Amino acid sequence: MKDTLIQQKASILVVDDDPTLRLLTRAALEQVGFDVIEAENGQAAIDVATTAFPDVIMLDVEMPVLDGFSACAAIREHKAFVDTPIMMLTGRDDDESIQQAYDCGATDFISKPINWSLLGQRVRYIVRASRVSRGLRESEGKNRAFVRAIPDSMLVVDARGRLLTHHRGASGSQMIDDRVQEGVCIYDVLPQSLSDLWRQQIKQVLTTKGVELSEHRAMKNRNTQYYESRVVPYTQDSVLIMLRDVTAQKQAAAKVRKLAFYDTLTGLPNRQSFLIQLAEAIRDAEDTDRLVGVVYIDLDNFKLINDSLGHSVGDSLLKDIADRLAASVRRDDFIAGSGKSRALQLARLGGDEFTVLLPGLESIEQADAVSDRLVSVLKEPLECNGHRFVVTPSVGIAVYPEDGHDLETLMKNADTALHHAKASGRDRVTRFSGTMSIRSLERLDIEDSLRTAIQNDDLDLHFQPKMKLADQSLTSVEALLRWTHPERGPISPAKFIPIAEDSGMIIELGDWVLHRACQQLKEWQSTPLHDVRIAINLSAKQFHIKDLASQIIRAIRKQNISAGLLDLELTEGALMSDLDSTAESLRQIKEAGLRIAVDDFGTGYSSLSYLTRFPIDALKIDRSFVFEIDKSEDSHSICKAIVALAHGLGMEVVAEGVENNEQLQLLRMMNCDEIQGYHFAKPMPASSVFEFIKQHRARQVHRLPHANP
Amino acid sequence: METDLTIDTNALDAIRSLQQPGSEDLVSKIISMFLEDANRYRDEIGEAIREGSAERVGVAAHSLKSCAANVGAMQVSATAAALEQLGRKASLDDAPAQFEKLKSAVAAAREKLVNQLDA
Repeated sequence: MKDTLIQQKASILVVDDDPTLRLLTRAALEQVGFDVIEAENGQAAIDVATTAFPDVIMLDVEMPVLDGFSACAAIREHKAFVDTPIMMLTGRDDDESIQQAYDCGATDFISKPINWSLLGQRVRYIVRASRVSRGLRESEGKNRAFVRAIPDSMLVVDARGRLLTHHRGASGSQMIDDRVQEGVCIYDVLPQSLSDLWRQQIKQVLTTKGVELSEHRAMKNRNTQYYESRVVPYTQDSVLIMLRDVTAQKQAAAKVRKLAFYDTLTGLPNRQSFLIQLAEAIRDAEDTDRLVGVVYIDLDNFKLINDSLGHSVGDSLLKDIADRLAASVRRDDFIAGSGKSRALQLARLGGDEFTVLLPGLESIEQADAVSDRLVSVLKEPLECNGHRFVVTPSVGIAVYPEDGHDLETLMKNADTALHHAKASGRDRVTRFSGTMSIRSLERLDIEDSLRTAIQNDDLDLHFQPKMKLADQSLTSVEALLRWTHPERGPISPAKFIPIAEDSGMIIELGDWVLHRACQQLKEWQSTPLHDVRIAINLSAKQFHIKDLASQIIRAIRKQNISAGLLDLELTEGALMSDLDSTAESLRQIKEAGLRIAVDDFGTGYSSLSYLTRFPIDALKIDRSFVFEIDKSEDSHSICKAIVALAHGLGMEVVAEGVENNEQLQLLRMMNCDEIQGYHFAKPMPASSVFEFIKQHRARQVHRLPHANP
Repeated sequence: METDLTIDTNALDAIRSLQQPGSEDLVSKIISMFLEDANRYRDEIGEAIREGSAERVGVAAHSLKSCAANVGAMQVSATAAALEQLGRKASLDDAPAQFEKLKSAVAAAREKLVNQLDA
């Protein structure tokens, strides 16, 4: 086997004033493979050494110019030769020289006369030893550099806990205070809990030769710092403890977790995290026979806030709302007590959508109670960025297992319920039900669009003129609501009015019609049509408004028009629904000077006594009787009876749906006061009706002298 | 003096063992160098004694001691060592006598070594 340490050719500097000795030494060294450099005295040796950097220097003692001891000492001082082997050639058994050689830093000595056959071998040993020790020194140096470079703190501790050596790195040294010094027993100076842990781990590691990991927490300047320690075997009876500050890693991991599972704006759990919680809650519920509620919350018209006040206001409002919801959920958690397997979970799914998970419910009523509280909390006015808001939520609820056995179905059904809540007029809580069919959703969609239509002014009033049969004069028109959907085009009132009635939105529609009609009347005041009355329809639902009369009166006064210009038409149903309050409203309306007509007369209630209880000015014969007046004797008789009844009670009669001259003539013969229908005029927009009336009146003026047919 | 200390042939054998094949003969070279140096150092010592320069005696004797030892001329080396000591002590009283011994030792060594050259 080759000696790898000798592989690289070593060079030996031979210093002697005796040329013979140099020659022989060279021969001996070259024989074993060394390069040889020569110098003839101490001074020459220093010069040659500092240019050729030999691996070994052999120095004679007695030389001219500079002796061997002085040369040795001088060479040793040079930092390149700190550990270069220097061999002194001394006289045999010259103890004094040997001692002096040692004192001046020589590595070894060779006695003269030199044993030439052994010299080569001797130097080989020295070269190898030197290289080994240099290797060791280098690796020690490298190790020291490693240790210095490692930010961790390190302790080497023996089996009894005595600190043998330590390194205070930038990281982790906060854990070990200044009392931790070499020689002390670390158990005496470390906190009890850490002491106990390490004592046990050191014992473990010395037996198993394995590694023991642990994590520690400490407070520093009121911040929590995290440390990681690993105890590993060092020698047979000592261990190395590495201490590392892992606070930054912990914080980064927490941040990643936060980003993945929490909403950045509100700090609430996000959809991802909600779905995980829901899945777990369902699993738990399967085992315990409990219910799981999913409450889906959407803030009504939140988009308007973002659009009108900007996203920063919207965002801070969302934060406030999130805080409110969180507080409410916490309260509920507290009230619910400890019987529950899992806490309520609030999450923000995105936008203005929030969800609350109600795990481990015993009854559906509990879900209702929680959502009712959430709603009432949300509805309290909010101050935000100098604005005051009242936020109403729409809420959909789905409950496991009744409304779905799995996560997807529950989420979908809660969403459907929410959609229904929104479509049913917003600001309400709706529990999912199997009857929430596609058709009803379509209907709800119309409702939702209608709500937008009111806001966007997609509605319009058309006007259908009525004609007095006595003198063919035109003094009033009926206002009829028209809706043109921006995408679907005109939507028939027959379709949307019943939906509006059901949803209660008829109130808003009625209000819109009232104001629009008053506005129209106002516009006509400065025209020849200043005396034309407009009749608007009132829904039975509108009589549920406590101050309906004053609302109407206010609308009239707002436009500063005469109350006598506005007629109200209402159905028999409206009159029957709530007799006392309706009577009072009508009395006030009548007192204000408005005319009141009963619409669709003859189709409703059989009791006619109500006619005397209300201040009614006119009856409008339902179009179904008028339609058949010339074909059915019954209808003819009914029409005749209605005219007689009305006149008998001091009311006027208006016939609706007059489509031809026969019907007109029959009604005239019955002394019907006024007619309305396609035969005379269709419903038409404001501008058209204006022209129509003007022209009608112009013809009338023309005919006046020949009037009274 | 019973043992012939003129030349330690072991020394020459040791030198021979250093001989590399193809190189010039090491023993011959060493002997030639010794023969040259020995005369030079001997004359230097003689002159220094006459002039009473103990230091020069010491230095020259030291060199001769060393180069004589190289070729195994132990008698020369021992006598040179004695002269070196005298030079160091700066007492040259015994020096002429030692010098005489040195001269005969060098002559004896020369004779033996020249034979070695011829051998």
